[in-house]
Amino acid sequence: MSHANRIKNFIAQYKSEVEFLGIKYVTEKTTYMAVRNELSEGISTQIDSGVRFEVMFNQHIGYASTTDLSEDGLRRAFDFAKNQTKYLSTHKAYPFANTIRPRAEGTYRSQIQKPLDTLSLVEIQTVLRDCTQRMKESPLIFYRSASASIVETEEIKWDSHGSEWLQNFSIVNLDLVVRAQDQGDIQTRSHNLCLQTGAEVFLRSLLFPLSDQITKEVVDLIHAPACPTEVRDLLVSPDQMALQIHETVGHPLEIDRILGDERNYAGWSFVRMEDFGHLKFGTSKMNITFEPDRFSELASYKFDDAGFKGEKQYLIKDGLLVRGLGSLESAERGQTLPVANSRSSSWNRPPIDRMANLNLEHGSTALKDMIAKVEKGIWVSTNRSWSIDDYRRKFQFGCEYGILIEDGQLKGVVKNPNYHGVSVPFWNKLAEISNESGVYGSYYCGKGEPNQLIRVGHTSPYCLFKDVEIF
Amino acid sequence: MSMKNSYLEKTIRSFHHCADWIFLNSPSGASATVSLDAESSLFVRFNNHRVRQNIQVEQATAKILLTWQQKSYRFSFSITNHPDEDLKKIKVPFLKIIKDWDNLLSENVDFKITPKQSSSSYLWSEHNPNPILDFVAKATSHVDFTGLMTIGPVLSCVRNSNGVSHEFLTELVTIDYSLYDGPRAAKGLYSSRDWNEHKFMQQLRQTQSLLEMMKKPKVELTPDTYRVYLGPGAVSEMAQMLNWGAVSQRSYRLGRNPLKRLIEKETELSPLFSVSEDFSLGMGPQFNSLGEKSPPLIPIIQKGNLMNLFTSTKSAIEFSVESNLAEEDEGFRSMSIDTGALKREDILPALGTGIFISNLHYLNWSNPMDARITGMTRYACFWVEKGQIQGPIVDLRFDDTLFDLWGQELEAVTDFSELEPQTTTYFQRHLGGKRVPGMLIKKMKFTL
Repeated sequence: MSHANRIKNFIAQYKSEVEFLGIKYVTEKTTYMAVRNELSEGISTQIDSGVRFEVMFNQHIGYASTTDLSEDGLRRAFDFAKNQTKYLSTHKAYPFANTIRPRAEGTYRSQIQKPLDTLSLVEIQTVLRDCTQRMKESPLIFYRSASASIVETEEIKWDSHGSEWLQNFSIVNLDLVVRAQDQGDIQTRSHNLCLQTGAEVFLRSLLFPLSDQITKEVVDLIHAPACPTEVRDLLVSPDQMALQIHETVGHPLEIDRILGDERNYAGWSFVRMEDFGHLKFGTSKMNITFEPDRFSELASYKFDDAGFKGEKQYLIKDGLLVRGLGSLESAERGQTLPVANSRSSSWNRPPIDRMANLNLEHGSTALKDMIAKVEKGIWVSTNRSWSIDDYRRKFQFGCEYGILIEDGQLKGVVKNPNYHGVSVPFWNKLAEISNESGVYGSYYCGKGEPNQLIRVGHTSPYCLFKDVEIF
Repeated sequence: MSMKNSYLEKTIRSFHHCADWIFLNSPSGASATVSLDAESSLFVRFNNHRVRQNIQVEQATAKILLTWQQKSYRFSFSITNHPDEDLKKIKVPFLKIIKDWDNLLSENVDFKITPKQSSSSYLWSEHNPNPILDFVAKATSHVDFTGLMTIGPVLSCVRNSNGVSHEFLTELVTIDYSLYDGPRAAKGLYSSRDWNEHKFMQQLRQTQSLLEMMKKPKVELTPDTYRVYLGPGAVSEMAQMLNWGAVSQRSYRLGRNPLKRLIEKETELSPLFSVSEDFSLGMGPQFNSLGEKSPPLIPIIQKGNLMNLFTSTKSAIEFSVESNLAEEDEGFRSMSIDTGALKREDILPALGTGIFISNLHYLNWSNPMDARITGMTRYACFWVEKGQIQGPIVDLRFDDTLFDLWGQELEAVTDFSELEPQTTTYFQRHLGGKRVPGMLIKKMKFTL
């Protein structure tokens, strides 16, 4: 009997023992390969599969996960879930009705041009090798690397409401890294692509220009002076904006954080429930959306783990905080509006409130016109250091690459640029937004107890902030 | 040996079945190493002493490393506990990669396979979680207790085609928690192989007394340079940065080791600072995923001078240096920082006027070439004047270099240390831990 039939039969047989029974099956194949200086750093394939039971007993939701998909294995996991949830229900944090899980049916598939398995491992390895070959520009360059994780995920969920939905993801996380050394200093320049995509991403015509650009820039960097310590206007590239949005908007808006679930690990939030609809979060140019239904971004999907359908929602509209990142469960606990963000890293962790694609909408100004307006500024790209407090207020970010701007002109590269600020005051200095955007994301967003890493997407334009402390 | 847990019992059977097949079917001249990480864990998540989520996780991952003709392939998969089904998962990719082998790019390194050796360590306690959960729920019913309780066994095994065989199993009860009083918070950690109500209560009372001290009015300090005492929790966070490329041979050779200047003897740390890998802590296996058993004690920094970098056998071959049988990520698995002379009762008088820092949060290298780190104060941190606690501080950001903090600015190290088990649970429960003292620092730079 197939896993699917065994699981469906299981639900039919045992659903009467609990108030709600859901089973999610996940199988994920990840192939990772890296090439450094034209030689392989090895190839690995990981196939991770299992199921997660979700039961409701005395209005408490609990879980059990296993890799054993046999009849006995399912029964053992179900017994754990049922008995522990029943036992712990007297200490439950919140009573949920089983209507907290909607009935869901449908399918999702990453929109790709060419399936990942149409290229062999050897073909992909050769493309990566050719990228490292391109980086041989200067004798100062000693480290040239290209690596890729190629991920194919299938997840299926069935539940006692009659839900059945299936999602297939095709993901590539690709890193190009070049490092140069001179007079005791070492500088790194890198580019990361993380998208829902097919094998079409392994095109030399796409990857060679990126390799060439970081190679040129690392040579500029190794000869560049250090970033000055002063107050300047800050122009931030989309790849660094991704991190800025992630750390100072995304995490503080997670409702489970605001409700205190994360206080022992990731932390709390400066945002309070009463801030929704009232807090001025950024200038009027700032529009942040939760957008899991956007094409090809890293965290695009149709259903979250609760079976709630993902749709675009404004979280910040014209600089006003209007909605948080709360699942159906969190929205009920916090008496607020939900989004479809109940997500788990895999079959072996319970879902929690997560970002999906969290995007900053573009403006209407051309990048060159933004630069032309800056009297004294710095343009920074590509994160290399990030740190923020447990309430998500005081941040410090470091970038790989900086260019000073004087009187509307680019005036030369600086190394080791850092900037710091406080989240809301910083966004309130947002002065200009470009008309073009870049699509980025984070492949490793950590949160939760037990710990979970999850993938999130961030699309952002170039942004200009006034009067920021740089060093 | 009986596994006392039917999931793990089946897992280990299936693991050996798969390993035997791999050894039998590897091409002539190839070497194979097969390892297993498995656990049966109950995680209970508390918010304000109520149960937010509970999950029982039974998982097992087998990892195969095949090395042959200066090439390698790694394959890992979730063990289902049904040997025939598990074998099916291996056969297709394994036989396919062998067919493609000639076309794969060569690697920097031709692996050496570990010679025959074996060890076995089983530390069972077999806890019934329900009485522990009841006790904790009752003991914390009057406080805003938030955090994670973890109960259950963790198993780690490795075998290779030369006859290596190591097994390590431990069963831990870990309660990693915070106590809150509005925005005021203090951190606690209980972890033991044998659940002990009294020891848990002792730990809880200690955390409560820290929280009591937070009731004084808050002190808002301007960013500046301050004298500080870093408690073991704060030192632990700082020392964790060493595992981010700072004690790794590979990261040094590839140009991303933040302690480069220390390694190249351009600078040295304080003679008060010594740190070693010390497996006598007994918190994790002494063998690595290749089945290599580490020496029981490896000095890394002694009296301010770098003695050794963690060097895996792979790095040793590639960079023509000696291996110290480190794990491939070349970081601490069982860190021990030497204690000093500062007595517990002398901490506040010795600090005089400055900041008492219990914990730090979210550290990162801000300029790795300079070993400069940034991070935040967190939990019970106090402003102290003339040896008297004045009140908790508004959290501050620091940005300073380890070359100074553990160099000329390190004034004293406590004569006691705390044992801190690894609590990380990304993908799986991680084993190992640290033993760390507190440190008195003459000057630390705060920037925001």
